[in-house]
Amino acid sequence: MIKGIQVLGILVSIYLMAKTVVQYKKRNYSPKRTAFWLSLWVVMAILFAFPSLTLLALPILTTQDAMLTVVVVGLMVTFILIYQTYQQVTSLERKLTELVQNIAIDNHLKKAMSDPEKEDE
Amino acid sequence: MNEKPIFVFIPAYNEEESIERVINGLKKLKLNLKIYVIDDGSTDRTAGKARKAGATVIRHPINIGGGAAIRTAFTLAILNNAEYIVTLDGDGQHDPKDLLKIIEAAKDGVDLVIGSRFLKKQKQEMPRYRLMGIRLFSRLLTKKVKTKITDATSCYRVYKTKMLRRTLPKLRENQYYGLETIVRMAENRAKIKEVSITSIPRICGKSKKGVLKYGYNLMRTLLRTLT
Repeated sequence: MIKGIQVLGILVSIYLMAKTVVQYKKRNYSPKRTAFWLSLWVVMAILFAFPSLTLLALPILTTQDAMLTVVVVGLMVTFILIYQTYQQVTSLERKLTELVQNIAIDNHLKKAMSDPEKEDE
Repeated sequence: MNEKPIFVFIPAYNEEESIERVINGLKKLKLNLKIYVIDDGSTDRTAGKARKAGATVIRHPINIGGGAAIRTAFTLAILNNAEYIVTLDGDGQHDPKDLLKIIEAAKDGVDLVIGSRFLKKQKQEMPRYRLMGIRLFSRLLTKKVKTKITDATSCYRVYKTKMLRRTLPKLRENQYYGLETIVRMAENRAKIKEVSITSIPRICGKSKKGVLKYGYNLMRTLLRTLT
């Protein structure tokens, strides 16, 4: 029988997949980067749906249930926060770079138009 | 190619000790050059010295990285309808005399000419970790772009502007842009060629690449470029 924590994990995975698709639609992500993140979230969803898979790969996780739940929930929250931060930093970095470049080019063009001879020196 | 001016772009950050020497070295070649220094938010006298030496200075108000500076250069090249552009570092480690050699190589319908410090055996004045990093990334890049690359991080290059128009919108990296430009140009089926250049030891200033920062940034760039 599927547990509540599994449902929560799957929902979080779906939320992250949706966020990734939105980033792709906004052209913040290339198709390859979108595929990378989507596959990560799909793996996460599969592991929550079929947790016995983790037992095969990571026997160390077979601790007490309560402890495991805390760790898993903590990890999920951390994933969300890290991913949100990554998105925001990437987006801000791009905007800042474009802004700085536009200022530099505009200043150069203004100077060139106001004093073309001096600009050629 | 010689009748039209050749646009030379030098991205520079805090290179007041070497920038004049680089510009004067280029001027000595007696070619029809238009020299631009993209000052990436230097806090020293790089811009003033470059202007005094006769270059046109385009100044980023803050430091955002060599990749952003090179994209500013690409934008200006497109605005100026340049046929080819040359880029080289402002730290004086590139020999201006090699300019003729790499321009000559660009005449054969090549879209990107990379000046390689490793095509011929010569003494390399750089830390071992950087040498290993360059070799590793050059090998990975060779597999990815299916063209032999020996110096993936060299910024002494000639770009065909026609190819830059198609590549520029895909460029994102603010650091270690050398890898990204090669990959994106190869995706656009660019013809890429390497020519041997002389590696000059840094005689003034110091490298801004520490071992940890260098390793982290290269790995990050590689992951972002190849995914």
